[in-house]
Amino acid sequence: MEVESKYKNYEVEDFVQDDDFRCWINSPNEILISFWTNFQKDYPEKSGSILQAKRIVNALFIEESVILPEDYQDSLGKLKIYLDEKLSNKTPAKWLKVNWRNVAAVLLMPILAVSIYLYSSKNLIQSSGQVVQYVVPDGQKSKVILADGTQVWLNSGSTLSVSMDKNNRRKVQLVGEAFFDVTKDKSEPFLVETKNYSVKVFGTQFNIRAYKDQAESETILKEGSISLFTHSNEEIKMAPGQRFFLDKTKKYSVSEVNPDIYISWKDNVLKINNEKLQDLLVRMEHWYGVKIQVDNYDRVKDLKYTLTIKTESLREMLDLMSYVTPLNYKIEGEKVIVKYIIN
Amino acid sequence: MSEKLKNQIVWDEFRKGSKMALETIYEDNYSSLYHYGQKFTQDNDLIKDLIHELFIELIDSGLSLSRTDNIRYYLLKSLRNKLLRLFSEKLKFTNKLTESADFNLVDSIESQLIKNEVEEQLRNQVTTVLKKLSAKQQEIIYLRFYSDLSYQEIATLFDVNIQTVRNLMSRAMNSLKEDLQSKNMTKHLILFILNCSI
Repeated sequence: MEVESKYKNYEVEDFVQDDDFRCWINSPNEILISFWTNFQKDYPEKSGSILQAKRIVNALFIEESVILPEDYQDSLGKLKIYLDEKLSNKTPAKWLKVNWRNVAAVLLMPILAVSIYLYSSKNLIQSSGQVVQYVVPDGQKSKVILADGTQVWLNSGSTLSVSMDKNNRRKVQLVGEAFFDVTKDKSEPFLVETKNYSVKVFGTQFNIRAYKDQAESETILKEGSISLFTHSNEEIKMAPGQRFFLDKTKKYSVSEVNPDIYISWKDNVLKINNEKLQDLLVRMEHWYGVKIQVDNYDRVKDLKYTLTIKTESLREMLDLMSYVTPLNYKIEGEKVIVKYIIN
Repeated sequence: MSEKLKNQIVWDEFRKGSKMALETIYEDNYSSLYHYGQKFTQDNDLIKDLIHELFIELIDSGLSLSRTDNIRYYLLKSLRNKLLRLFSEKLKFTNKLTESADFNLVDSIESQLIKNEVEEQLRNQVTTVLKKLSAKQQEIIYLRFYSDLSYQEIATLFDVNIQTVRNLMSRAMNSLKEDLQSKNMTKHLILFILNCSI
């Protein structure tokens, strides 16, 4: 009765704001049910306010998703290791700071679709061990952390094959574009194999672009040093800030560049620096996951663009381009048709 | 032992670097943080990343962390700051107001109504009413009703005085009271309430 009297002057909004009242409606227990039934009997004049309050509480009701320990175990596990390393005055490894389980989850869908299979081709990764493929669909980006701590950012439409064999854990195969931040290990080089050449490193940061559907491919070195090996086993040593470019005729050249322009995609920035339309189109197709068809392609393919795209949509990007060079476009699902207005 | 005292002790242990305290705090608060974050963004991975990052920062700060007797409040506040900072940085580049980090309770409620198989007409009516509440009002309702923060804590979180929070809440209550009263809605809502209580 004493508790009941607390409520006798309550109005609708007071009931709604009362924790026990809301609990009675949202997740009632016996005690609450009997209390509120008695209260309504003792104070029938309150039934109108109670009904109204109920309505409000009901309208505000949400049942949050259930979180299971496996949803956060990886993150918590890392935090514990991180704490341990801090306490023993070590500098904790960088990867502990990143909650990459999410990245793995993003990847898992495509991985499951492709699944783990026995790799048979001998000439690329010489191992009969299992190979895991990380497949990133067009329009998406992902990050993988390998067993040795090496971090790999995968651009859209790329596939990274990693051997599960312990002896080959620093050998990977790439189709597409990736930025590597390789963990230093002097005793064992890290090897990336692509369609036309392979890259050998000990610990450094570099970007490789070698898509299946593009004849040209390139490697940009940001830090450290790397060696490239062509099919004819020629070794090309690269210094930071250099770009190795392999053209359609399999001829290569090395030039000095600003690496950030080539690496910006990993931070969700698409930097186009005085690039020809024909190259830009390929980048756009991978960035947005679309196929772009350009009318009178031969007449416009050498148009040059300088753009920085951050979160702009495909539509916004095309609008930007049409400011510089008048064009009309039509987006039909995954197909884009572009018509330049040429006088 | 009172909740406050328990909080103080666990937090102190955490500041000193206790792994057990870290585990307790993480496990006790993960859901609250995650669900709170979901009201700002639908990018669940982003929320998970931010929670991880938040704990890394807490571990890094160690003894220099200030003391608290309400860990949940402390964590929610930190996550909120992280989210707002992130979105304001994004905003600088995009200028798109649609991408701002507005607290949004209506979407959660709407999906709840869908889950409860509430018919579309009523669902729309309820959400229309709720959409009239400002983001702040929605956040106050959530923090008070679902995160169990006190008005004082909410006031500190928003950096306003407690009366402002109370006023916002009572205005929200009044508008809900009026709008959920209209004849048509009453009929439907009574059916809805009946369904819910069965």
